[in-house]
Amino acid sequence: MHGITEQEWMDYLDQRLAGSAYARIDAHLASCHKCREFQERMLRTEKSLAVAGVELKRGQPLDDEQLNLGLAKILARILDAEAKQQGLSRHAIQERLNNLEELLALMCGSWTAVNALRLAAEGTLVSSLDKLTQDNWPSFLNRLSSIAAVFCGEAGAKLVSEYGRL
Amino acid sequence: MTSEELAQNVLFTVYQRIGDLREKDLFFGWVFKIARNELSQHRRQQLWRSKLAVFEPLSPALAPRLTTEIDSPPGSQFYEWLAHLQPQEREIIMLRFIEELSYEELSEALSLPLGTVKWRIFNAKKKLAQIIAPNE
Repeated sequence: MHGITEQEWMDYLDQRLAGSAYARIDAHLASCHKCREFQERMLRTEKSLAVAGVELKRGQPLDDEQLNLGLAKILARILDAEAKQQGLSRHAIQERLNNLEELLALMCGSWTAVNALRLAAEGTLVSSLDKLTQDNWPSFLNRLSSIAAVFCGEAGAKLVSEYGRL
Repeated sequence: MTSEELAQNVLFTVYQRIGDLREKDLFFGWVFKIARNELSQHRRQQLWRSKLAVFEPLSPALAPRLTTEIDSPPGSQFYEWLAHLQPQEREIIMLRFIEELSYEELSEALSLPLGTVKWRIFNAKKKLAQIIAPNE
């Protein structure tokens, strides 16, 4: 319209237009009644929409009791999901421990296998194998691998670190 | 599924996928994107169920009530204005002026390029200007 592209109108009305282009449109608006009218109508529309939109949002407040109830339900779901996740992790850890014990028993005998696992747990600063988690598992596996290197050689250590990955 | 259950699903997904959020500034846009996906999925399921369902004809007393009741607050000028827009335009105008999302947040929420967002809002406002601020 009158040498002003739609893109320029959009940016001008949003006040995102670069300096020189802004000044050019300003100068045009000062002398063109039709474009000024369009600008004013668009600004009035923007303002009316903003006012009505905010009023509408404020007119539908969420009741505190309803909000708290909803949030409590979400929290319960989150806690439930976390408990399931931890349960799965515990299961995976126990499964890996059993596999590692079998592997070490095959390589160095069952007495060594049981003691290697115990020593690795102590070295990881957990009181028992039950306390192993996903977080301390990599450290435990490193220690077990070092112990396996002593008892079963480098090949055994490598097998332990490969086999023990969660 | 009630609207409350849908809202819960949205918040639960937000919790599960918060690690996927790329830009913290676009958080609200990202939440609306999840909400929009949840709603679309719900609508698809409803549509599928409605295709499977066997409908009984509405009672003569109930039918007129259902066809005249509007799912918006009575007297809301905003909804009257929205009735003049296409569904895509309605959605973007509601998110812009009720939820007050920025262009960048709208781009994230609607998975649209920034230019398309600006263009769609500008065109919708031009249409609404005919109603809200007509030529004098």
